[in-house]
Amino acid sequence: MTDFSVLSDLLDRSATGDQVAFKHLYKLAAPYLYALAIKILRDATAAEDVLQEAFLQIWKDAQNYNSDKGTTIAWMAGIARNRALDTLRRLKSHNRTLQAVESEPEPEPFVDPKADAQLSEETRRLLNCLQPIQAEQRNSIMMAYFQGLSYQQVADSAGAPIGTVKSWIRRGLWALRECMQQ
Amino acid sequence: MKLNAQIKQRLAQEYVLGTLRGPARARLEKLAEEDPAIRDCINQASAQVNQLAELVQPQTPPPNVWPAIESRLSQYSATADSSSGVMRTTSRFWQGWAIAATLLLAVSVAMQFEWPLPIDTRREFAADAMILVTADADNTPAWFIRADLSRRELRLRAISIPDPGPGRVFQLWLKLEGEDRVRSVGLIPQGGEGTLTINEEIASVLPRAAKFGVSVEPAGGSPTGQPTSTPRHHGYLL
Repeated sequence: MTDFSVLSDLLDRSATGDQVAFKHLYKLAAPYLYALAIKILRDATAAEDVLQEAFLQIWKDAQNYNSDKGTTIAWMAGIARNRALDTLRRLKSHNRTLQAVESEPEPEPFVDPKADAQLSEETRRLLNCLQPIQAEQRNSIMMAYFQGLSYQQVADSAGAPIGTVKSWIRRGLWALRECMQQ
Repeated sequence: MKLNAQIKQRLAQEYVLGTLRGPARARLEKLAEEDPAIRDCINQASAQVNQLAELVQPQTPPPNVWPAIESRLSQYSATADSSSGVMRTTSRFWQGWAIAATLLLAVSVAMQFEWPLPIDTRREFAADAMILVTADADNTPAWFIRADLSRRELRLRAISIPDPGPGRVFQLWLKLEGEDRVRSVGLIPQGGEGTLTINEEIASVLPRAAKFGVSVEPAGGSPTGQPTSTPRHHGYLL
């Protein structure tokens, strides 16, 4: 498990045009961003393109980062995820993609908090905040985040009315916010 | 349209999650252009929601991705320099570094002592210099070291926590330009984390170190005062 606090120093150096630091930033962060892109797109080639574009944007925007924008990995993940969602939206039919997903190999699972004794402090905090959230709320948020699904698509997948799913996601997000601000 | 603070925060969360779509998404983007409070809410929501990315099981990207990025990085740098000439140098951050710019040139400080290291690629060693030690095999970052010369301390953080093997320790070395022998900086604490207090001699020569390296040694450190194994890690001065 990566010590994410190192990323901030490397990003600072990258902001000065330091390509050596940027290469190490890539080495540490790319596996997370690549895994995120694969989870959203379920397509390794498309995920590689997203990773490439995301890191070029990170390079260009490094000097605009500050800690108000969250942890370095969260900021970088936001860039990669937006790129992945753009790619997803560019596909002619999202439904077609969802059908294709069924034939794609299942991506690697999430970290197992019990198996990994080296989780970063930030990740532990996040897990602690996710734990008390109701399972339906948490699962709906995860589906929307990691698969880029709309309310309707989450509702279809969960077999629940769209109004219920909206309520799950909104309450879950709010609970997450309240916990992480403590 | 006037939105109260809680509605702004809720909409920002849905915007970042991606469930706010269509005209509602476009409306919020337009409002955000005019309302800094909404932009703050979006930044805040982005910081929180995107922490979810830390939960994925990392997957190493194919080896062709970095070279593709690197080649475009060079193009971007060249374009930026020739098209505007000031694209990056206009940033406040860069201005702060301008004085040191000539000294902050990229260098890989390899521990393979026979490698010549041109002096003009040396970085200036700042009082709070940072050294990134990577494994030779695949250049994976292993330790991050921050120097505090005023306290004669090196603070180490393990990144990938390599294992020296049973009854063995990692020992950090430095080499000065023009010297054949290397000098021991000290033993890396067990577990890779902790503070290494350096002696006066090392503190005085550390800013002139040309190369850093880490070797695997018997418990207690090298009995000869020189590395007894080929260094498996080398240090980059950041």
